[in-house]
Amino acid sequence: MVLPVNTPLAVKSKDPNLPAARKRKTSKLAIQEAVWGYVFILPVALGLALFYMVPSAASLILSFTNWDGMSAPAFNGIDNFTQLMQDEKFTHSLLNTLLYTVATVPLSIVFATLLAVLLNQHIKGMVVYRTFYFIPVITMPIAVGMVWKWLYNSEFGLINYVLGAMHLPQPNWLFDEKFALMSIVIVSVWTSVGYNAVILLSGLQGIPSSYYEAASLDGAGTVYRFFRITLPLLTPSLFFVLVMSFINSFQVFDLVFIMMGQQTSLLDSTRTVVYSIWEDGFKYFNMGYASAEAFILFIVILIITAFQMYFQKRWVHYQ
Amino acid sequence: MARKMSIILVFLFLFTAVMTGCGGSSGEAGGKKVINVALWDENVKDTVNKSIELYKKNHPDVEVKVTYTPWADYWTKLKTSLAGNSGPDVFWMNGPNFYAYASKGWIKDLQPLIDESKLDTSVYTDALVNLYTYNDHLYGLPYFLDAVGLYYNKELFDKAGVSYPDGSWTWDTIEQNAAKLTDKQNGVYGYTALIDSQSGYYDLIHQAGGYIISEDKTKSGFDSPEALSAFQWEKKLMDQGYSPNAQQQLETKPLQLFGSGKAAMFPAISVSAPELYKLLGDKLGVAPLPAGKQKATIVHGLSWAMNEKTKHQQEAWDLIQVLSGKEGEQYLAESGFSIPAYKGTEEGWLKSIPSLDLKVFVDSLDFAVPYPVSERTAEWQDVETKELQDAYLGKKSFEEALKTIADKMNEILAEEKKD
Repeated sequence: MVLPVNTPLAVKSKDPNLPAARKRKTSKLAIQEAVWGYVFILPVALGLALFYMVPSAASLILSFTNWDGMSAPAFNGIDNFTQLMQDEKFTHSLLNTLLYTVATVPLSIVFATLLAVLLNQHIKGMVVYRTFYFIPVITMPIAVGMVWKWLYNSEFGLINYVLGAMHLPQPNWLFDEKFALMSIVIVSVWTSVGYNAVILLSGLQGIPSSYYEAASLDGAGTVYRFFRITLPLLTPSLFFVLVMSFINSFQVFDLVFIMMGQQTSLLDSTRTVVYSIWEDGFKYFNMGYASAEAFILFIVILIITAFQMYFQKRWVHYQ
Repeated sequence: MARKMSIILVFLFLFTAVMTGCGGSSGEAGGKKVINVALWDENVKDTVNKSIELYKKNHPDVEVKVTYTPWADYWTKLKTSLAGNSGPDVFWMNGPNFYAYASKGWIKDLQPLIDESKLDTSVYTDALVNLYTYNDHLYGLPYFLDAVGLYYNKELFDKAGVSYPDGSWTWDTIEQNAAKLTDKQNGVYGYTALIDSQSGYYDLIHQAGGYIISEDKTKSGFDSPEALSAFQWEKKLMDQGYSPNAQQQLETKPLQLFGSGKAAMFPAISVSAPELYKLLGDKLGVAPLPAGKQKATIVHGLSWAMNEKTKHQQEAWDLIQVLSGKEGEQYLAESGFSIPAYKGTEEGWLKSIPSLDLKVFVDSLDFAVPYPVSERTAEWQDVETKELQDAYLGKKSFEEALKTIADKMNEILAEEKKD
């Protein structure tokens, strides 16, 4: 830290090189900076504490009780957790969520990358294209779910109508166990591609064009440039998108809730972990049990994210 | 220094403003009393609003807020809000849930209020008064009755050259005519074999000579051969293509199918009359349910209950009395929504849709069976719904499903007796 020589502090101390004088200079400023730092993050930090930390801690405590939402909670040790291990419905929901994630994340990122590259060109009206592809992201999930539910309707929906006109088979997208999860994956990818593409786009724009110029001078084709320059330099953004997509995918609920309804037994093939949490907590009022499920989900996501963080040094190239 | 202080003050001010904005509003702003009403059927909106206008004449200082929550979410929302002490003051109560709410003390015992106001509850249909009585005290003031009838589409019948259904029809008549009315090319079904209970298999089981729950509430009737015959009859119709199958009914609501002219016959409750009339107009007709071995229809009704923790007991009680009072019930009757629970006001209902023979529902009361409930109805109904849905979808046989339901239900009923 270099202070201009005519500041009061510099004038006050007789010899700036005396250890005592230097400490006083830096510590007063450091404290000032620290205070301002805290003041500025105070609103967000308070919100974070009140609406995230406190409920999470409460949820953790509740997972060791048998609270039903109305009467006083009573501790029952690790009963909830041991019961969960044997609960077929829950383990099945974990499997469904995993399948859903494994399908959604790669599809979403691959399409988003291609889209980002396409949106990175300097052609007329690019702003309009970027807007269109971002609209699904900002549309309310309820609206998305309801419209797609109609599209998917096996008798009256638009998709099967078009397929029928082309004499192609018309599957029952939502209410046939073979197709249900896939149908939700499609909607999910449609919603998230725009968001991921925008992030990857900003990553693309951070790649200096000098690399491309040098490569084309050496005679590199488009595909070569993409795989040897674009992708490696895009890896930081890809990493961010990968981690966020995984975390979000594991928490999928609203699309399942809106598109599958609540009463159908066909829910077995599309019940995700968060749906299971909602069901046990708000339909059957086993709040303690649901909290235990939530905690397990937290651990699973934590482990996966930790893995990703660990492996990042292997494939992410930071400039 | 002054600048820094002012910035900090601004932050603190914004912060407290946000906090009070979030916390304060429990609806008691300005000293006005607010009563919250919750129910699920928007078709009754006009009636409820008219009753509230009447109520406000004597209670100008009370604001009444009505919230309609779709049926699928109503009970979950109600329970959650009651748990969070922010539940509505006055809300709809139905048969299956009544016992749980009354026994757990979530709804108020209206008996002391009735005695105090000297309200004569004999003006209400006996069946409903019985349904909403717990430990000899009334916990819900009856609002309306509903019975099940067979709605049909006159236009589709005319096209197929079939005469309209009447009191002489039986299961066989339905089958024969469903075949004639089904038009596979245009996607029209002759009949709707409902996977629903109240308008569907509950009635069919009774028509076959069976029962859902024994009179003394100790035995389940699901594993009887009569019950099985009801489901097999429905399955036959679905397999032959005369009725939409379970998957189709789950995807598209049967009421929508019938309302858009895709089905010729549709068993449903009296409450659906105005809605179906809006969709089909004069094409809509209604007849009594066909007889199996005998005639039967499920009769049920709703009541108004009061939140045990309401902050405005007197105002809420006055509102309930107006809603279920003579005038309130007359409004209900005129709207055509359903049969009012107040004896003597049915006339208005019968005339509410002139082209529709609503008398069918009132006459059905002669062979009506009360909606089956016990103390822990919600629990065995859960098993019932899941098992039957699996069976309808072909995932297991009806015999298996019915046995599982009966076993579980008998278990629950036995536990009820012990308490």
